[in-house]
Amino acid sequence: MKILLKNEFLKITRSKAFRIAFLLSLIYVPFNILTGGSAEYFQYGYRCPVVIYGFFETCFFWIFGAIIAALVAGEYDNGTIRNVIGLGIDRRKYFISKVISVFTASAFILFLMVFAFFVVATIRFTRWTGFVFTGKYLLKLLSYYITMLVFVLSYESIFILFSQIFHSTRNTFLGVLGITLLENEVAAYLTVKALGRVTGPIGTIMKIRAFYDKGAALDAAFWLNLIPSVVVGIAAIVASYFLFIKKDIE
Amino acid sequence: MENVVLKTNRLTKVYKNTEVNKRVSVTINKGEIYGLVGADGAGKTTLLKMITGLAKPTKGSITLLGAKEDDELSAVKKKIGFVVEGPALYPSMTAHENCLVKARYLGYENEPDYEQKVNDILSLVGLKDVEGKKINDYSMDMKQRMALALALIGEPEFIMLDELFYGVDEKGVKELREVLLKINKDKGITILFATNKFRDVEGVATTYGFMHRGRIVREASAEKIARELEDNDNNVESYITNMIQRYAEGVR
Repeated sequence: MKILLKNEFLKITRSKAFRIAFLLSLIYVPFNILTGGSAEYFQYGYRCPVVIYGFFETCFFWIFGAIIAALVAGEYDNGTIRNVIGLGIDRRKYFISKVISVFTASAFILFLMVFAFFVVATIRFTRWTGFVFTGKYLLKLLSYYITMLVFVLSYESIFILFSQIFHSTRNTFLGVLGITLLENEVAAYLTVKALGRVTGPIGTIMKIRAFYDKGAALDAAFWLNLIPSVVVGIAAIVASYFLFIKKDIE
Repeated sequence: MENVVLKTNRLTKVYKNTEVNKRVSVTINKGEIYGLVGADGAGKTTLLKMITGLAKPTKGSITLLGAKEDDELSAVKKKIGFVVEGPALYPSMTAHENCLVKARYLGYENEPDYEQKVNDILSLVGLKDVEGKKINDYSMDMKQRMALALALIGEPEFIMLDELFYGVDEKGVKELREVLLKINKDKGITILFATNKFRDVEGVATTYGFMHRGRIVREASAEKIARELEDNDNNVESYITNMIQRYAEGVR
């Protein structure tokens, strides 16, 4: 397993898609904050500071989708998956090493994004974000990071499932864009029209924003909002695992 | 049996209700260069995929280097090298990094003289001068050479090559044919070479297997085929096409 992980990390560090996604995210986060407004934001029935809103916007899941498309589906496009399976490497171990490596790489990128975000945001908006360097600041920052990590990994699990279904970088990435747009734009618009407030995944994000707005990001109730994402993520990974074990490598 | 490197017994593969391989039985002995010849869609690649474990046979069995059961097969697969369906390489990596990935999977990275062995392989396939370049910058010819180099990492006993000369110019084909003869003679590597062009393996293969619509319709020694070719005024194209047709009708 150690050797499999070593190889996976070598592939990640050499991957062009990973490097581009990494640079884009680091440039875009501070750029978004510095060019954004400083008023409070009201949307879909929830109020929150623009800083929080801005970050959810900039956390664009497609960056992580691009990483998954390149590193998981890319093995099918390159044909390199054949080299691995043809060598008699245990498919289960290979799948686990792949998931661990892409999750670790994403957690690292996300950590840098959150770090960059808060450094720039604190400098610019300290007056009203509340995230100043006081006692609970680090805990709040940690809760914020964990929340985002759960969302990202949950989305990534769905993207891994796409790559196991499509076995193609292009189709996986189109699937990523499709589901991101569907959830964040179409579903949000339709539920607001029908119910007056947004529900579903985007609704959960809005609720979480409200927790930050009320300064209740460390309350127990806050964490309950993450349960649906965890369940969806686990279901997607389990489905991907069985597809990978059973399917022929075309 | 010890002399047998590969034996497939009535191997059958069904994809979406179509029999892509039909009861294929092939035996390849140690030291042979087996030329598997057949038109596109004859079932050569599917056969190689089943042997490498990329596709599961619908029926039949495979004995590879004496191993038959799944667990044993996984272990002996480290002793085989292959190129199936084109060169499978990491485009953002250099030749050395691609070799490193495979060497790690094989546990070969810590072998004494690992670096020297990789350098020798890259020299053998004619890539020593471009070893520092990324695969992205390679031509198709160079990618095929790199794929062959990867197949040779780990000192395999048996290699399977599927359309290795696709995208390689005449000079390159000549050089690679010499490489195949050299590794067969010097290192005793048994080779299965699948191609749709008889010319690719003519003069290299010691045994031929001709495939048509999922079946092996004929197996014959290189000498026998050479004699028959001579009788046909060395008209390769028409001889191969007619011969395969004739034998295909015979096995129906």
